[in-house]
Amino acid sequence: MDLVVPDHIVELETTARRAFADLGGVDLAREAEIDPSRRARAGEALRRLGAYDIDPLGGVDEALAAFALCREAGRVALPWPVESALCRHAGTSVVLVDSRDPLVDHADLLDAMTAFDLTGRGWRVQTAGMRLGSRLAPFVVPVSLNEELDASAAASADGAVTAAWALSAVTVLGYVEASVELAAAHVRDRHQFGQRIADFQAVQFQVADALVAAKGLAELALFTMWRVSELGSGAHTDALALRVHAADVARTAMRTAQQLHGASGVSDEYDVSVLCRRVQSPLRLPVSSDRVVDVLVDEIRDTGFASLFPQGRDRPQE
Amino acid sequence: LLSALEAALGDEFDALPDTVRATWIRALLAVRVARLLAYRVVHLQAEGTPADTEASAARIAVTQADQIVAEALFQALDSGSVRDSKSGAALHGAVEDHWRYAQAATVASGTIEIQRMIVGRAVLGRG
Repeated sequence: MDLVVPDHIVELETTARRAFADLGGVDLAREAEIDPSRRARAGEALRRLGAYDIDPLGGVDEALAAFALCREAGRVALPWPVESALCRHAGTSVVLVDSRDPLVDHADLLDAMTAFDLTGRGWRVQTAGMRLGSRLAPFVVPVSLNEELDASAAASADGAVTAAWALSAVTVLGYVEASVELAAAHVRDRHQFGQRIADFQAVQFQVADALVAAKGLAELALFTMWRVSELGSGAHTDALALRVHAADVARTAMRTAQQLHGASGVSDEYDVSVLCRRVQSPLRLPVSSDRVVDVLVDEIRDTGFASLFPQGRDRPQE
Repeated sequence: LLSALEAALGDEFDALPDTVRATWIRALLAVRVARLLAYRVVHLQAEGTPADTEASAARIAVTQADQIVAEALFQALDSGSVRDSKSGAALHGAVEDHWRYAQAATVASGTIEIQRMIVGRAVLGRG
């Protein structure tokens, strides 16, 4: 792996950040809840950024470009299904579902979809109802699983499904990083009991822990996208592991970020409140991270987990 | 040790409670993340970029990973965790040895609290 992110990817990330800021940043997410048609502005911005020409499996450059866009989209809770738009299979968007209760974020914006569950089964799907419109999932739409793909057709989408799992976690990374930065800025600027909030050591320690967790998640996400670009579906275990870690970090670091905002943390006038609310769709869907852990234990036992030391079947057989 | 213990337990590993198996996954993840953060520090230093904050961040992650791993191993070993090399411990006492080492990891070479102060001040400045 290469620890250096190439200059043109850094530039893409900067351009994307500016483009999403021009749309209003988190304000676009707020506006879209009142008028869902506003989401089209996000789709248009992504088109101008060349997002629809990116194939996350098309080599390391494209994998990192997908990484950059999902991360930036997460930072502003961009109201658009970025991962699904990037991960394609047979001319359709790849979406991840729980087959018992198939829900897809922004499904109404996707033309043709193929849905996959945690076990790798796949279906052609259609929207089957209205947006939930709930506080935690305003744009999530129920879908119906129509025709199940046979095993070989489902297997041919393995790489795209792996990329979709990984990128869903990269989006969460964007939410985490933005929330921690907002919290740091808030405690730097605000005073309480005659001193900067940041001067309380209890606050410094919480910021430090959240920051270390966010940095660690960022490194893991970068490493995982590199694995996906090298190995495609061979990085499935890595993608699920990233997903579990993203959920763990989001729960703790974003909780800290919201808490450090005091009462503002639960007011939607503050970006952190919107981010903490809206991350719940990418965080809880398609399935809880504990379900992913269940599958991951067996997968690591069967296929191993790249490390300095062998894990599971990596171990040389005696 | 996570690798060695999994091998030593063999089929018994699958009989561990699901919560322990989940702890094992999180220990593997903590190790991977700590290693990546350490690589980042080495990379920055090789470039000649100051990496004090990153070094403290990596140190926090590494020492906590030591403790997460120690806890995962002890949970997997069950009552056998309190044995040492002379009283018939698994892996010749390597797990028991690691657990005792890990308890001191967040103290040695600068306590985790000092590392947190360094990271906190880097991002928050001084009043």
